[in-house]
Amino acid sequence: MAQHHLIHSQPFTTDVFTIPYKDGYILHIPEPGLVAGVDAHFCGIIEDLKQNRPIEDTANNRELLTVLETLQVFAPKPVPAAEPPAEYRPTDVTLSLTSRCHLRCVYCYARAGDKIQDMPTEIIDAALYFVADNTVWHERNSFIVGFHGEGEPTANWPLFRHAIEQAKRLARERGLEVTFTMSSNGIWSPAQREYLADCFANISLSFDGPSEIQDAQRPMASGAPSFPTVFENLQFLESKGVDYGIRATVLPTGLDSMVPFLNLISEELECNYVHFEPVFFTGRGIDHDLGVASTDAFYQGFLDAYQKAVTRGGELGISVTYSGCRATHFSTNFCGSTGPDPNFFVSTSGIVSSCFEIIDPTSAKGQFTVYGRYDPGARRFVFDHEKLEQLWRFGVDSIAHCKDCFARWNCSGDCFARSDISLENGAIVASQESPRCQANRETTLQELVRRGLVMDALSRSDQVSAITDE
Amino acid sequence: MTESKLPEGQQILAILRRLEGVQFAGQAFPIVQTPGVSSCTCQNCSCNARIDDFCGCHPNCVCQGKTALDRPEDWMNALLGVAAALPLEDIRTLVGMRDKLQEALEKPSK
Repeated sequence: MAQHHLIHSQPFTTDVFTIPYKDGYILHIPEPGLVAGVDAHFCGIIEDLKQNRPIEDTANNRELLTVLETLQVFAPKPVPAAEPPAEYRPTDVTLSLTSRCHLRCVYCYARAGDKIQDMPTEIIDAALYFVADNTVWHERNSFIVGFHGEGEPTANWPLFRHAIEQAKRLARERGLEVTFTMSSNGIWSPAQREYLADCFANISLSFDGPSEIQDAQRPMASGAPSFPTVFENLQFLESKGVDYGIRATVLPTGLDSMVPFLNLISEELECNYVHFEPVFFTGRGIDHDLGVASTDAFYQGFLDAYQKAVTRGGELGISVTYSGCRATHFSTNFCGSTGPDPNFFVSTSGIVSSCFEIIDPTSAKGQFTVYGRYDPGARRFVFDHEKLEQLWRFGVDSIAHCKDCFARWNCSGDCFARSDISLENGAIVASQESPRCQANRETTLQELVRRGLVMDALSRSDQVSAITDE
Repeated sequence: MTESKLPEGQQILAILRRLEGVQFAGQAFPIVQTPGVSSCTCQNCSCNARIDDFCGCHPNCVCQGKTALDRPEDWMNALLGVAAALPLEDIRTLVGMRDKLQEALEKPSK
């Protein structure tokens, strides 16, 4: 019997995952974004290499090592910068102009409309001057002003117009461009929507489903239905060529409406992007009985319904997404709530936080995300640089329960506000998987497989074309 | 956000696909390679490079491939739509699915 020599390789310097998938395995190397379908024997070789065990010296294995070397899985990784920048000079700002809202959504995290608070124009102006001047300082040519937060941005219309016009003026005076972004409920008057269509190239619309879902989950403050107004305004945006995406919050009662909602969109609208998000149990979501008997069962139901929606979306040409399904991402941080480029989000009272949802500086997570405030005496923003440094250092590698997860560079520790982590003095003292983790893994794996297959097919087709061309 | 890429992309994927035990291999990021056409739409360097290297002047390229990554062609989305509508039943049928995708690719849908 022929005896093979053994090859000893270097240890991997990047994550290499083999994930059981039906009757085989998916090989996933997140850093270059590689996805491959492999059999058990191939998976065994990868596992040997991962454990730094020698493998048989065969032509196949030598080629495999060549591939892995080219993919740089043995290469030393660059050492990240040890210190954050000395000065904090963001060029994008997100303003929470008001806590007013036309709607009383049953799950609203901010309980918008319950208490009225508006941002003083002094704070709006200070934030806009700050980012406009920072843009000049960085020698960039554009800055972004977003609207999100404690209520509907357009609900205090004079304040909203003030922010827009002030940002335009500051940009014009400095020879800059300004881009506006917004998450909105879509309740606008005819005059308001005309103005919005002139200012915004893209708007994210919260719109939960067919009328029976939208009206039950997102009623007007009076209790009247909101569906007709939102639907008409979406059609108006389309007539003006304004790009928009739909974000639909899914409650247990809405699981069966996801596919019908896609059918409705396909028949009546031109939208080709729908983001489904399972409801979060915060704010009014705690006050109301949302019909969730078991969180785990709800997420399993969402997972099943989501896969059906992805399939139907594929048939209709509508891209369906969920925030935890992030096959195309490779990042240490889920969003700007943590990491080296924190969001500059200003609340109605002038609190600066990296997270739109966590603005209470006394809460456990707020002690981490709230890193500054507007100082009326000094008429400027002041920042806690120690907290900025904590945010700067925080990445998925700080989260113990993510350590062995194949999706950790895709999901990047998940939404900070939703993740089940406990913090003390800016450090994680405990963490565990949240009910979203399983949904994140399953949806990400399915998406990775689809994308791997598509890219495989495209590459083979290119090779065929190249041969034909010769 | 950090974006990443496959070094020597297509060549290395072709070798990987030839290996015993590999059913398919591709890259998850929405990178599209159109033969003879620059995928890097920032055009700051006018190098007309293909996507695998982002552009010939990398690392001097201003967009570092981000522009191309953010703007996959319509037919890539159409193909992903086809993929979404096909069942991912077991690992062996994935190969059949890939063949269906290749068929779909030969009939440009948009």
